[in-house]
Amino acid sequence: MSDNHGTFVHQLLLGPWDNFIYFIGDRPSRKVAIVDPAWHAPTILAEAERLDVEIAAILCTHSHFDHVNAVEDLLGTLDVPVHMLAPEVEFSGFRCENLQVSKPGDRVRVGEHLEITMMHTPGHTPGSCSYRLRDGIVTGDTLFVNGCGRCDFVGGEPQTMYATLKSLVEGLPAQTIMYPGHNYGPTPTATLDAQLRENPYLRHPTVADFVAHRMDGKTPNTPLPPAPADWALSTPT
Amino acid sequence: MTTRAAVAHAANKPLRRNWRGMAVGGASEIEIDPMHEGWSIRSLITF
Repeated sequence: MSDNHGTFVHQLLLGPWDNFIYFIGDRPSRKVAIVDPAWHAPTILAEAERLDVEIAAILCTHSHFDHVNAVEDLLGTLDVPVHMLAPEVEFSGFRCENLQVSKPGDRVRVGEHLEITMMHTPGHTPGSCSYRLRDGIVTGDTLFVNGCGRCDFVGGEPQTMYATLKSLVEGLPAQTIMYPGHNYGPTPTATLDAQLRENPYLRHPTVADFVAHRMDGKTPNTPLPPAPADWALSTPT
Repeated sequence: MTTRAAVAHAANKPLRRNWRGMAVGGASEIEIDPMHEGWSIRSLITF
C-alpha cells in the first residue's frame, strides 16, 4: 500500500480478466473511494473490512461491465455516490442509484487529505475517465503498463486515443505513478517516465502510425465479449 | 471445456484461482496479500 501525504492507494486484482480494483484512501479518517468495483462485491467488502476502511464513494472509469458489475451489489449495502462522466453515461445508458453524472475537472473529496480530479480521457470509450491523484493517476482502460486500451470496441476511437495518450504524457509530471485498470504488464504500476521509454503505444510519432498499430488485426465496432462462463468457479474460498 | 480450462489442462495444471490482493508501493514494493493469495493464469482476452 503506498502512502503519500496522508493518502494511500491499495490495488486489488480480482476476477477472470485481470481487473485491478483500487481503494484510494485518506489515512486519518480511513475513508476510501473505490475505483471500478467489479466481479464480486463480497470480496470487495471483505477487503474494505480487512483494511479497516469506510467506503465513501464509487468511481467508475468507464461503463464496461468488467469495471462496474459489482456496483449494484455494493449499493445494496452502501449509500454512497457513484461517479461517471456525462459522455460515458450518455454513450452507455448506465444507470444506478446515487449516480453522479460528472464533468471533466470535477473533484471528489475523501476525508481531509484526499482530493481526486476527474479527467476526460476518451478513446477506449467516449466518456472514459482517469482519476488524478496528487502523485498518481488511475487510468482505467486508457493506459496500461506497456499497453493501452483497445479502440475497436463499440465507442472506441483510435485517433482520439492517440490525442488522449499524448495529452497525458505531455501534461503530467514524469514521475506520476500510473495505476492501470488491468494487470497486463510486467509490473502492476509504472511511472509515466518509464512508460515513455517502454510502452510501444507511446512511441508512435504520428497518429497514423498509432492507429495502424492499435487497430492491427482488429475490426471496428466489435461488441464486448461476454463474461466467461467459468469465472464464478474461481470464487475464493 | 472452456478456453481457460483448456489452457490450464494443456499446461497440465488445475484451473487456478485468479483472485489475489496486493498492496501497491511502487513496482519494487509489492506485497502479496496472504488473505487472497492464489495464482492466476493471464486472461486470453484483453481490453
